[in-house]
Amino acid sequence: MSSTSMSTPAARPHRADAATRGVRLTLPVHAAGSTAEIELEPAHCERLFRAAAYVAIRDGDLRPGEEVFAQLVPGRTREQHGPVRCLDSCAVELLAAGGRLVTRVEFPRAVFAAFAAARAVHLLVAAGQAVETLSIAYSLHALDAVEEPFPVEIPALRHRSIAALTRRAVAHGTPADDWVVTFVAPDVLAGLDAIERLSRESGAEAAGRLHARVGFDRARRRFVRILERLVISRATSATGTTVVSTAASWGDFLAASTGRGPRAFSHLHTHLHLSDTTAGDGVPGDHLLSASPTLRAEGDPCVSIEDIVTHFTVFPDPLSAMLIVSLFRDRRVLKVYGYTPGAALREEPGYWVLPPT
Amino acid sequence: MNATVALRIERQDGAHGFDDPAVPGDWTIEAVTARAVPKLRYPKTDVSSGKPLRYSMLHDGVELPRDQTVGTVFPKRRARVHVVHEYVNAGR
Repeated sequence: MSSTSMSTPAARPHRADAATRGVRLTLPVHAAGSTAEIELEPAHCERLFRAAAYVAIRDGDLRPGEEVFAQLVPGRTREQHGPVRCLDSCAVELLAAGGRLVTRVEFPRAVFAAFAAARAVHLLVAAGQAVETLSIAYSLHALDAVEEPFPVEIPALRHRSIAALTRRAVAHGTPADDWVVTFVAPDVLAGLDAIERLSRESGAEAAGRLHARVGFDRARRRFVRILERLVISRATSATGTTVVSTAASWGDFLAASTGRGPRAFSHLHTHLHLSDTTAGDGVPGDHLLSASPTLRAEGDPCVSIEDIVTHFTVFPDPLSAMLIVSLFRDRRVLKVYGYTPGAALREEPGYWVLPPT
Repeated sequence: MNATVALRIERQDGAHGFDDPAVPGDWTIEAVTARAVPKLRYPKTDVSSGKPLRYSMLHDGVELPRDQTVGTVFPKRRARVHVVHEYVNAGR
């Protein structure tokens, strides 16, 4: 990812024509003889808009709580197909009141790779083909469009001292300190025990959501995410390989929200690595894994394309995390995935566990 | 005369929301939900499958029946609701 913030306010041009400069993006996808075109809605790109806003806050170009508008513009053009620009990258421009350009953040074409992979898998499944060896080609196209700038409001993040929080916390792994610092409260660990029991007893995946307080360490220019409480979802539909969090499943979680202070929602689900054979009650080839082909007992903890797309589209805030609890016969492995400044997903190398209060 | 209902409609994460002070009481929950989706900046289609996404309305943590009218569901003529949709996690 490349991030290019404007260096000085004086250098920032005004964008009086903001509403007419946006583009609409599409992703032509080719996989094993099948083709499709994903028409990206602005809402599919919200994680990019919000990532750009957090980058601007980190860099001092935007104050938390200040409302801005985002629009997509072309980045580097690879080639031109008539009126269609084929892009190597796109960019998000954040506009303040009056059309002032706050910042411009560029994102490579690869930021949409998971969307292309997910559509490719659907193409193959529809064609009844296996997903074992999947060759995917995709492009990023831009079409001129009159798009209403997308409102982006980042809550007024409170100052949270990372030094004060880490003083009594215990490090698991090597917690990242370059963008978002993650803390886990003891209640969440107790929740992990509960969801592990539930999932092992049922033989099905289980899911939940986490309340997290979020803040910003103004001195270190780092964001803070404190995962406070896990609410296990009851209204789910699960098998050994999938879990659907129904609309009704939001009920308990939203009812449990205190609503005090800036928060970011995160989500968690289990993966069952309990069988020596490929788990077989899903549609064959319906999910493509980036690292491990199955949930075999001897496999590694993994994350699926479906998981990634769900995170990108349902939890677009840069401070939202995805937690996967991989359950093996003799152990449990917790992986925390968080956004990078480039709106990609990475496995967090560690996290801090807070003491009981 | 058909009474109206004042609704505060929010997304699950609170990132977007709006007030509609006069939702016609004879509108169904389905109709109000459909009209709210673009204002809440939700996507209309599933980026994986290309199929339309389906949204639901929750009030006090309970999913509201789509075919009921606003006037029936909110006799107090004022409410705060959430519009949400289901999602899939998969380990295969």
